[in-house]
Amino acid sequence: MRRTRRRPPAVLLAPGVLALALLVLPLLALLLRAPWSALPRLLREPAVGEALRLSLGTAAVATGLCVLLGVPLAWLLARADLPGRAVVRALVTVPLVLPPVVGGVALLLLLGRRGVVGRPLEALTGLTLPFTPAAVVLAETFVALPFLVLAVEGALRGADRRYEEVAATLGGTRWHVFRTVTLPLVAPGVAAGAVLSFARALGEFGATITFAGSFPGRTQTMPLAIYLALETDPEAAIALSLVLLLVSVAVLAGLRERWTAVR
Amino acid sequence: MRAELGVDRDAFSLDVVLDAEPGEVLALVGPNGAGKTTALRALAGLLPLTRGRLAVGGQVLDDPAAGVFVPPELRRVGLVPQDHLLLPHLSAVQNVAYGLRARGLRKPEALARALAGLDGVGLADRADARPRELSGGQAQRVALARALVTEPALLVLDEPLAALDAVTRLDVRTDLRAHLEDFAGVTVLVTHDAVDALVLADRLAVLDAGRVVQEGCPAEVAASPQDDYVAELVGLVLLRGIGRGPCTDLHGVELAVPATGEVLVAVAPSAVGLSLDGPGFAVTVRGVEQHGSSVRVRLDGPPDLVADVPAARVAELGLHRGQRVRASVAPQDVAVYAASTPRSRRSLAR
Repeated sequence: MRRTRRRPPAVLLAPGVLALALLVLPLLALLLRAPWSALPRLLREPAVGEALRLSLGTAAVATGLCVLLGVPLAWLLARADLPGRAVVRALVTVPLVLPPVVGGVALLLLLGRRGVVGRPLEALTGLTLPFTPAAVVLAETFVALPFLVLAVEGALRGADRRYEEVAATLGGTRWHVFRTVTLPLVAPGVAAGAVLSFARALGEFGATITFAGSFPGRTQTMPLAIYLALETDPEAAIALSLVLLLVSVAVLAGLRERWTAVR
Repeated sequence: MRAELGVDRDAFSLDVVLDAEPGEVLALVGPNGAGKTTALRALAGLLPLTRGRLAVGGQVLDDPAAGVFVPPELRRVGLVPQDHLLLPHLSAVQNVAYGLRARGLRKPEALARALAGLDGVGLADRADARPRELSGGQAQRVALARALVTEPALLVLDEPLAALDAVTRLDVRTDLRAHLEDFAGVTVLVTHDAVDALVLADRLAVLDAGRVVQEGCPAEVAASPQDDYVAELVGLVLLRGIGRGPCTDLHGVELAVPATGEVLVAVAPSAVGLSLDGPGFAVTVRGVEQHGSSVRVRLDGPPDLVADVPAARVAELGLHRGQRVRASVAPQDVAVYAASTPRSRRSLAR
């Protein structure tokens, strides 16, 4: 019998191709319209460097915070006898589905100068968070943390617990076992979660502009700069967009093993 | 070690009493689901007791009534798990050193002692190998060294040879025996393999459905199994009969062996003779299959039997499923002994 490649049904083929076009064509347009010749000059502009540095810096700090706080939370969700575990997990996933602007408003109401915590904080220490780089980090952490927690929790659930049990019988306390067995076993999951968090933090717009504002050099990250430049200097906006696209591609390459590999 | 282990989990409950002296190797045998793994986890502290009391070397490790529970990391228990479970990100020597490091020994000293431990199992030259670079037998030896190097009071082995191929198994079993003979503490060996249990253990405890159904030295247990599972392990068919003075009644068939009361009759399949119209009693052939160098014939009775006959004999008799034949058992080839506890009967020839 001759092996023939059967054509997929048109009802599925047509929308499928359309979907792919929808995903790819805008990026193609970005590349087509990029002011390639002016690019070196545009990227050398101080404002661009400033925004890029701020973006990379805050996203890196936010990712660090995500790992520092998210790994323990993931461990609690996956390993500890947590009361109301389902509720906790639902709460963790809220920022995933919440419009970031709402997150920004919520952060403002908590930590703003007249916020629930912000007002006593200012009264006691004189510190105000909104419209500072710290606020950018907080906003980014808020939206990126769920990615890390879910990735690491999944890795923890997938890890063979018998390794931890053997380590315990060998005399390892829970903390020692966590450091020497659990963490190395789930390291790929932590790395994937960190990359995802970084990508999410880097692209953060809504929560940042709401909670941290858009002050060049202080809180104006790349996405904000792009949005504002589109009004005044579209070429600069495109150049900045290209930079973010490049970073995204790098992130995708970092995740390649995990997501695009054929299982 | 004195272990009164009572554990309730879902629909399963374990209630066993296990005693073992230092230097003794106690094997827990039994079918899947008998509670071997539960018992092992309770000994290691990975599963707290629901009731009972566990003491090793005079130290109480678990006593729910008294509110005592020593967590695994504070017990002197060495576990050699099934599939070795060497930590995949550490080298062989680092795996062996793990327990020493976890107990606070400084790195150089821990590594030196770990290397000595590896040398003890003949693997000093594989010290820097990752677990995935080791063969199954090597990995199992490293796991043994890892457990022994911490000088546990209780060594627990979970199916240590199950994952190995036949040839490796032979080697590792021999080595393991030598190491267990040198080991000063209590060893509890969980296995479903009769040969492992008979070769390695000083004493057997047969578990079924969470209870100890028989206990004794390997020779005793093998000679007079109280349980179909053990009988099958040692290659015997177990029948239940009634002693009627000078002879034994096996489901209507009289065997010329004196006995009284409820008895167990252990029959070696090789001692069962088959013929078309010879002496003995009528049975029906249920199945014929190759078994080693002979042919195993399953027979529907009563009594249900298994006969191992030479292949030539099968051809001679033209044995086939459903055929009526005569089976005979020589009285000198069976063991008849008292049943210790009346137990519900399971099908004999599975």
